[in-house]
This record gives sequence, C-alpha cells and structure tokens, in this order.
Amino acid sequence: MKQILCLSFAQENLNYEEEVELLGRRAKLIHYSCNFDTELTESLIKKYDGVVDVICITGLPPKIKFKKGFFLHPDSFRIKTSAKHTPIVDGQVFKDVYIPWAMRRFYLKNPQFLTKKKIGFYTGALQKTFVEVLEELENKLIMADPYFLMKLPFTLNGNKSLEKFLKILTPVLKNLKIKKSSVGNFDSHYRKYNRALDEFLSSDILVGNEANISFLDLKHLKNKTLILDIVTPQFFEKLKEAGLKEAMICLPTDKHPFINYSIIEAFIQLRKGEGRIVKEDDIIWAIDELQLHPEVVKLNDDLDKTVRFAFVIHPLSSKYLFKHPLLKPVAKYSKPFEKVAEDLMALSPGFFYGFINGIVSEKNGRRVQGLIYTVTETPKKLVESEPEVVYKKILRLCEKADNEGAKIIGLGAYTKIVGDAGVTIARLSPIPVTTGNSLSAASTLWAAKLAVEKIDLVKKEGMQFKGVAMVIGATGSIGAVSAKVLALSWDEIIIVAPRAYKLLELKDDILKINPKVKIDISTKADDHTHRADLIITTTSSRGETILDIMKVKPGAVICDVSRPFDIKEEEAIQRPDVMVIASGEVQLPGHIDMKIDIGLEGNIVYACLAETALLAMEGKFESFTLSRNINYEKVLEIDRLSKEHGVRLSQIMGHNGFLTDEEFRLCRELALKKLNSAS
Amino acid sequence: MMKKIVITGATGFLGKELLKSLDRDGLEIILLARKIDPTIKLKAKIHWILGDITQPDIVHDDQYKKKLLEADTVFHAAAFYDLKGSYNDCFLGNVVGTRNLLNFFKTSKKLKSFHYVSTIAVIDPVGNESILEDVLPERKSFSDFYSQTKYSAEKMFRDFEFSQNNVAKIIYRPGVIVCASYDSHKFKEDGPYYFAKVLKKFRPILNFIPHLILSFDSKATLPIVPVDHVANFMAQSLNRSEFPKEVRTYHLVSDDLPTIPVFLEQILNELGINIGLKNTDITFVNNQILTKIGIPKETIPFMFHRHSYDKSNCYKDFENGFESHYKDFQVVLLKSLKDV
Repeated sequence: MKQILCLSFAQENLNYEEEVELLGRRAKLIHYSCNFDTELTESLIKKYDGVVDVICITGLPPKIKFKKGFFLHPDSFRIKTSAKHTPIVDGQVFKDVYIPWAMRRFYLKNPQFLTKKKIGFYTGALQKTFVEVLEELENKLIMADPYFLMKLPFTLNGNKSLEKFLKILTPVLKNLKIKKSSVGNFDSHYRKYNRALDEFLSSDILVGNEANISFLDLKHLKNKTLILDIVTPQFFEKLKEAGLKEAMICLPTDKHPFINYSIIEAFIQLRKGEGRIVKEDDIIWAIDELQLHPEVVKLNDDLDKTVRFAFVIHPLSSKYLFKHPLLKPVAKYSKPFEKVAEDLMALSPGFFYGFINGIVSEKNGRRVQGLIYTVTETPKKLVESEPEVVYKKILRLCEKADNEGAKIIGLGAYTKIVGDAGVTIARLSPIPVTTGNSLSAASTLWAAKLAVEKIDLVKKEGMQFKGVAMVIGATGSIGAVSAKVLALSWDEIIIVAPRAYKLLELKDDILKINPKVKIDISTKADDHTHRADLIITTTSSRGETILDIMKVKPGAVICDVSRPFDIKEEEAIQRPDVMVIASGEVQLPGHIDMKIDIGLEGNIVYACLAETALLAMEGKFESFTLSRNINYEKVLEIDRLSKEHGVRLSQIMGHNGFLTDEEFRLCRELALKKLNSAS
Repeated sequence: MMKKIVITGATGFLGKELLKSLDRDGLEIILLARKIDPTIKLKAKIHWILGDITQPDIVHDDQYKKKLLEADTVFHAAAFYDLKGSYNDCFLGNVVGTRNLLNFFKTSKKLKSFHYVSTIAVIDPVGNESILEDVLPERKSFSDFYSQTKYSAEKMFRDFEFSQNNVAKIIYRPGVIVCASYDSHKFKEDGPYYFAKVLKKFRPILNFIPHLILSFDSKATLPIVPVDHVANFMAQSLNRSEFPKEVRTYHLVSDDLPTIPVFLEQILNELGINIGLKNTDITFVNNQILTKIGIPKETIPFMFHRHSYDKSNCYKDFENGFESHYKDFQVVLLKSLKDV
C-alpha cells in the first residue's frame, strides 16, 4: 500500500495512522504534529525520505506573492526542499485554485454574507487568496498583520497596503522565527488599550486558519463569524466552546474526516506518479471528483432568543391605500379619489406596518417574530415604475429591518416580480432576501391536491391521479415547478403559456423528471379546459381574462394562485359546478398574534411570508428563493421543512373566504348532475 | 516453552534494573539497542540486536526482524529523558520511537503482551486530585518537552490497535525514580538530587542564614519511587498468564511519603545544614531564583504537587499490590542525596 507522511507543522498532540481512500487510491497516512518545531519537521522528513511515497506538510507559512515578486520564509524553503527522493507537497497549489472558486461560488448563493462587510484578517499575508477574492466583492478589509506578526499597533486596509508592508518588512520577516509565542494577543480585554486590536475585533467577519489562531485565546470569537479554509474536529469543538456563532468552512471534512489541502494534493501526486508535478488541471479534476463546496456551520445557535424576520407587502389595490393612518379618516369617501391617492402615495417611502407575534416552531421550539413593512405602491404602480426606483425603496426597508435585528426579509406579491425578481435587491441588501416562491409553489400543490380529493371525481390509484392536470402560466416560476411536481402524480399534463418555444423547453424538462407522463402544450387555455380535472392558474394577468370558465369541465378544480385573482368572482359564480380555490395561504405554528390587516382572514398568511418565517425558524438565513426560476429541489426542501416546523395549508380558501366541506359536496353534486345530463 | 522477551532501553537506568529483576533461567531476552553494553551479563540467554527505534525501519536485517517477531512479550522502556532536551529529541525518542515499535509488532502472531513505561509526569503535577489509573486526563500545557512527548506517546499507545486483538497493553507510570532501595550509589540525577546538589553547593552560605525561603505547598509531596521497586513490579508481570482485554495502567509511586517541608528538612539534616524553612507567596520571584541557582524549572511544579495515585489495579492484579514504603528506603535515599 502507498504511504503518505503527513506533517502538521502548527499543531500539537495529533499523532495517528490511518488508511484512507481518496480519488480512487488507497494509502496509509502517517501523521505527526510538529508543534512549530522546524528541527523536528526536518528530522522527520529526513527519516521518511525515500521510505514513503509522498510527504505532505500543512501549516507552514506559504509563499506570499506580490505584484512584483514573492516572499518565502527561509525555514519554509529549507523544509520544503529537504527531501532528496520523496516529493513534498503543501496543498498550496490546491488552495490557489480551490479557494477563489469556492468563495465566488459561495458568494453567488449567499451574496449578503460576503458583500459590504468589514472583514478582519488575522494575517492577510498568510491568507492572500482570500484577500484578493474578498476585496473584489466590495468589502472593507482590515488586516492585522503588523499586530499579529510583530505586535505593532496598527492595521492595514486593503491588498495594496498589505503588499507595501510585506515588501518593506521582507528583510525583517526573513529573520523572524516561526513560533507561536511571537504573535500578538487578541484577547478582547486589550481592546481599550490598542486601537489596532479594537478595529480588528469590530469586524463583521474574521478570516483565519487553524494554524494561525489555534494557539490564541479564543474568547474574542464569542458571537463572531469566522471564515476558515479548513477546520479539524478538535478545533471545531474549541471554537464552539469559545462561543463562535458561525463558521464558513471552505473545505468541510465531514465526508472525508482525515483530509486537508495538503493530503488531497498528496493523493493527486500519487495519482500523477513519480517525477510529475501537480498542476491546476489536476486540481480542477479533483474538485469535481470530490464534489467540494464551502459550508456555513452554526456553532452556537441560541434557540431561546426570539428570531426576527421581515416581510414587505404592498396595498393590493388603490382602495387598500385608505387603510393608511393618514387616509383612514376619509376611507368612506375614497372612490373618487382612489386614482389620485394611488399616484400620490407612490411617491412616499415605505414604512413599518406591524408585527406578527407568537410564531413557535414545532420542530425546535424557536420563537420567531415578523416585522411587516409596506411600500406604498399598488400593483399597477409597481409594474409601471422603473425597477431601480422600487429597488431603492425596498432596500431602505431592508436596512431598517436589519437595524431592527431581522435576519432575513421576504418580498410579497408584486414586490418580488419587479425587475429581476429579487436578485439585485438580494445583492445589495444587508440581510438575505427571499421571494417565498418555493413555498408558494408547494402550498399551491397542497391545496390543489386536497381540493381534487374532496371533489372526488378523479380516479386515484395509490398516489397517482388518473386524470388531466393543466397549468396556465406554466412557463412562469411557480407554473413551471407546479407542472414538474404534478407530472409525478398525474397521468396527463397540459401546459399553457403565451410563448410556444418556452413551452417546448418546459416539456423537455418535465420528461426528464417523468418520461412516462403524457404532456400536451398549448398557447390557448380554452382549447383544453374541457378535459382538465385540475387547472392551476399562475399568471400576472392584472385583471385580464385568462380563460372562459364556461368551457371548463364540470367538477374541475381551478386553483387560482395569482394575486389579484385571475378568475374574477363574477366568473366563478357562473359555474357552481366548478370549484375555484385560492392558494398560497398557509398557517404558521404557534399562537399567532397579528393585529394588522394583510388582506387575509384571521391568522392565515401568504405562503411567501410563511417561507420567510420558516427559514427563520430553521435558522437558515440565506437567499433561499430568488429570480424567476424556482428550483424544483428547493420546493421539495421547503415542503420538508414545512412539515418539520408545522407550517401547514390553512383551510382551503375561495374568493370569499374559507371553503367548507358543504360547499365541496354541493359542487360535486352539481358537477355529477351536469356530467350525467351531458352523457 | 521458553519465554522470549524484547526489551528496549535495557542500557538505561531503569532498563538495567529491570534486567536484574527479570534475570532467571528459562528465559530468552532480546535487547534492542543502539549499541551493545558489555557490562550486561545475565543468567538468562541474551541476544543483542542493534537498531534505532526512531527510524521507520527499526532494524534493517530480515533475520533480526524475524528474531524480534518471535517474542511473546515486549517491555518498551526506551525513552529520551532529559529535562533540557530539545523538542526534536524528545519527540523522536518518545513519540516516533514508540510508534515505530508498535507498528513493527502490529501484525506479530506471537505477541501476547506489550508493556510500555510511561511516567506520572504525563499528569499535570500541580493540584490535589486523586489520579485514576486507567484514564489519561486531558492536558493542554506542559512545563517541559519530556512530559509533553510522553503524554503524546501514552495517548498514542492507548489508541493503538494490534492486528491480533488479544495482545494485552500494559502501561506503567512510575513516579520520580530515585536510587535503588538497597544501594545508595545506584542513582540517576533527577528530582530531589537537583535540590541536594544545590544545597550542598551553597552549604557554607546557608549555615549563616536563619531561614531558607522557598515557595511550596506545605502539604505537597514529592512522588518518588526507588528504581528496584519499579523493576521488581514490572518483572512480576511476566508471571501473569492473563491480562484484562482493555489497556491496564499501574501507578508506581511509594506510599507514606513525607511532605515537601519534612523531606527538605531531612535532606538539610543529612547535609548538615542548620537552617529553618520558610514558605513564601512570591512564587514567581522565588522560581526565578531557584532556576538561576541550578534547579531545573521543570521540577519546580512538584513543590505544589498534592495528587494521590490510585493503585487499585496493582491490588486487583497482584497479591501484594505495589509494595513500596518510604520508611523502607529513607535511610538509603538520604545517604544517596548526601553523596550526589
């Protein structure tokens, strides 16, 4: 079996042997920790040179590249060149490729985690790859290198000053011995005496690695966020004990407990064989093979503390404007002034509307409070306005919410369809943003399924409905996911949307999920409504007629997702044998106390609001749903989270409130009559 | 059938005494060492095998490897013991050496027991705890590289798994090893010997000073043990046919030890120094002075040592337990300290 000598230069008391399989190779890892002792490191290399197949070293000061040169500590150079026969790797090639990719990938999924933050580096010199990436993402960088390396009382701001500092101090750094006792003290007790330390410790996020910080007093990490390239289980426990709130770990090791960057590089070297150097292409291949990606891990999650989320709503129509405190007194006489009010109110800023209290998760008992904000535009105004104007308004509300301690904000109804559907807002917001469309899609399907079962005119074999389901607005975000999910449990699907080419693309996607389902596509809903047992409408028609209800099959369920409704009340009344239900409304767990009017009855909330609350209950503060493309897997995930935390479909609602079992029974009776008389 | 034993560290202070205790007919002893000691002569059959346990390949010759693997018992007494030793030397001698030896015997089909000589120095000396035998308490700071590397080595030994899961793992934790209880000349300069040496050196001055001011805990004891008591106990293990499946640890520290002030007074008396002892709280200054006059700083924590060492395994597994009482070797020890 191949053997790899692994030396952890900056660790102590971690000596073991383990057989590990990685990248298609099996090898015995002989691990020694060298406790910063260069003499020991060299002795071990000399003893194992020619005996093992690869020597990997971790924790040595790396080569620091500047614009016009580099610095490599003489001890590092001597150690890395001390073997005559066996190749030595240190994981730096791997890091140089992986870390920038990992950080950028993480940023794309979680933009607010890494934008416009004050980021403190214990030492930028030893974390150069992080410095460059994070500076590109418009963060303020504070580097404590002068304090960390030489106990000097100042910090550096940015890569340029770091490079200047390193250039000037290269002759001094060369003579500095690599040992743990020579670094600065980061105990927060010293903050008041040391401006550099104070500035560093006031950072939103700290960046370090285990080798640099494991020997520091870690109490200063309490309630902080830390970015680490990698962390051993032992150090993870120390961080947890120190009260660190969360860690972003570039290379999680839960799937491969014994690996680190140098060990991965060692396995790549084994694969390459003797005499061949590990190159960037090899690293790219390994990243792909190992399916590596960074993770945020919560270490100290205070379940006793109430977590706040925020949600942005808007008046559903101009008559709702008269619920504003300023206009409430004249609400009785609103009709002639609604247009003027709509224009004027659109000019005013958004404001705090009220609280939702009493939400308690059934999974972990976490208490959650909602802060409801509202913009003053009606749907018509939101669509007419320049997206940038609306973004600015919403972003101001995001900042307000952040100041009030909200950890995440959701966008309700039309606020989420303006412009790029939350992407720009998420990028610029200080807290994560979600449109809530994943839960909107999930709750649509819960309601639809239940309604079809109540009408009980569609045959069912196990979980499979032996009928036809139609989705109007199928190429929209909610429509597309609904179509994919329905394709799993319905024999036939009809997808309808104005643009035929998009329908063809959607059809291909659905067939990948379930090749057996029959799919029809159409740009005209009315051509097929007579066949459909279930119709889901999810358009933004803004009052335009999207189907002729008189052509709909008796006993069909129309699930109207849109707000305002696609199917008007007057149309629904004409067909008492067709069940028109509203969807997207759910109930939150706990004893909800909501004194504000958000256009729904009782304690029922919009699904998009519920998604925001659900993410707060889970402690999952990320931009879960953004843009017009709802992710199918996310809908499944939010469905699972809902079941765990106790978010449920509220009573099925129609245009005028809850639908009773009596109404379903009556609809079924009328439908049966019509069907029998037709046959 | 003739018992075959491998011993490492046989040329050292404890190793030589262990050989004496083990020596009998019907035994084959294989001495794994860096060089031959011609003064070692035994009744038992001896084989010398030259090797270096700090190398991954501890011996090169396949014939010698085969010879070593014939052993049914290993006593690993080799260690790098020097309070002033570098981390490199201590780590290679204590951690790497132990690892290489364990790996060598990992797949041995004949091995029945592996005996490892650790030390009570793996326990933080400052404190007043009852130290259990089968536990290695977690420790984060060390005053010297010897105790740090012996700690790592014992941890490694505890976690090590032989391929044959019936190999017994035995750990001995001797206290500070002093002279043989029967011969005051057989000693190694350590622990109380440093104090005795310094007191002898400053005797002319001390006789004119009313008090010797030191920083110590008045109830502290120095955990000493004569070398022959340790060796005799270890040799007893050879008579056992069975050991428990889990790792077994034995504390080898003498009983009825005097407190530090009483012990110091006995030494002062033996050296003919007429001076009283006074305790001071100014520990830091006191320690600086002691170090300056030749007391290794690594021994100073023992001035505050109040641990008691659990010996229930000794009593469970051996009829007489670990028989070692201060009164039985006090006279010899004090003479030995006088002669340092």
